[in-house]
Amino acid sequence: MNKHTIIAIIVILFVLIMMPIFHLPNVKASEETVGIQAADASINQAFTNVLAAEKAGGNVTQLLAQLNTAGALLAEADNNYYVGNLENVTSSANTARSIANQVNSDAIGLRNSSIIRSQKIGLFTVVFSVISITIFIAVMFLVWQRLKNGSNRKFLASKPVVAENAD
Amino acid sequence: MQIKDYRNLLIAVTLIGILLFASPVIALFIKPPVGEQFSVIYMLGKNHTFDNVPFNVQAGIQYSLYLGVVNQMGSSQYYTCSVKLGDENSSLPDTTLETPSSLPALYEYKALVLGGATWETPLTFQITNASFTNNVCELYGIALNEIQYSIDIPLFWDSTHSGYYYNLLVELSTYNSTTESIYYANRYVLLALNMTQ
Repeated sequence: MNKHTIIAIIVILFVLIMMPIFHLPNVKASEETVGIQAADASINQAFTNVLAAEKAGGNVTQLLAQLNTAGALLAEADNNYYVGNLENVTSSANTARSIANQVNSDAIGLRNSSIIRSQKIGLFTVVFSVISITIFIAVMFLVWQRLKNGSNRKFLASKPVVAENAD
Repeated sequence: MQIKDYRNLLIAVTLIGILLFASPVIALFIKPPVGEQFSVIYMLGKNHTFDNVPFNVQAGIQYSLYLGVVNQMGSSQYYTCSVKLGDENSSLPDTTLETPSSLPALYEYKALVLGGATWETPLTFQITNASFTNNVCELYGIALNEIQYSIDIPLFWDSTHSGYYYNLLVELSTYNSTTESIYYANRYVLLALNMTQ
């Protein structure tokens, strides 16, 4: 091996060794971005399901408080990433995502139970109203019958009176 | 009272009774009209009042504020508050076009607020680096809630109002779960700051 070949090999080896070091900040940066995006998507999804649970009549106070914590962590990760302070970005984003995922599954459960509950309440209301109306109509009919019979009896018991010059 | 009158009275009572007993079922299908829906963003001084809201500011001094959002949208909302800094000539949000300011967002808050509830949080800011030369004030750094931001906002002396006027702006955006996107809620709060030496 001549001198040029040895230098070329050393240069190639140096470049190969240094390459990951040059690429490391980019890899790190993309890791943070992926973490933030995943947390953002999880919170959005969880919020959508919390909203659905709320519309179904569920009490979402606790879930929203937990999701607020996740939102604060995501904002913290976002703000630190913006200024290049990457130290705790991934951990904050991952914590936010795991809280959001937990809230998401709880919200789905709450939405389903709230739908079943509101269906039961709706059915009970309809049945109660139908029974109440039926009983009320029956009572009114009986009252009418009684009044009518009373009136007929009164009419039959009355003595005919001849009135003069009655117009 | 004639029997005919009794009949009419009973028919009226029966109809009213039917309506009364059917009202819970009617309420299931007819929703009452929803009132006006809106969101409010506000800024208060450190005593939770309009007093002590900073106006004349100096570099190196930390100023405290409270930022709040009131949700009167009738359901839970997912808000984003974007803190921006610009000079008096920078673009402001357009309330007619409902577009936010073109200034870059420095700091962000994310808040999930129940319908009818209020969310409030502290906001501290400190101009960390500024220079005054030849009737020009230049801001190089600001700390928002202890996070340092490098900025470069030069501003000429405003001879009309005698000062270097900057705007600390907080814009409110809402997440729309139907379209799965964040949109500017056409609400912002602006704090005018007079930079002094």
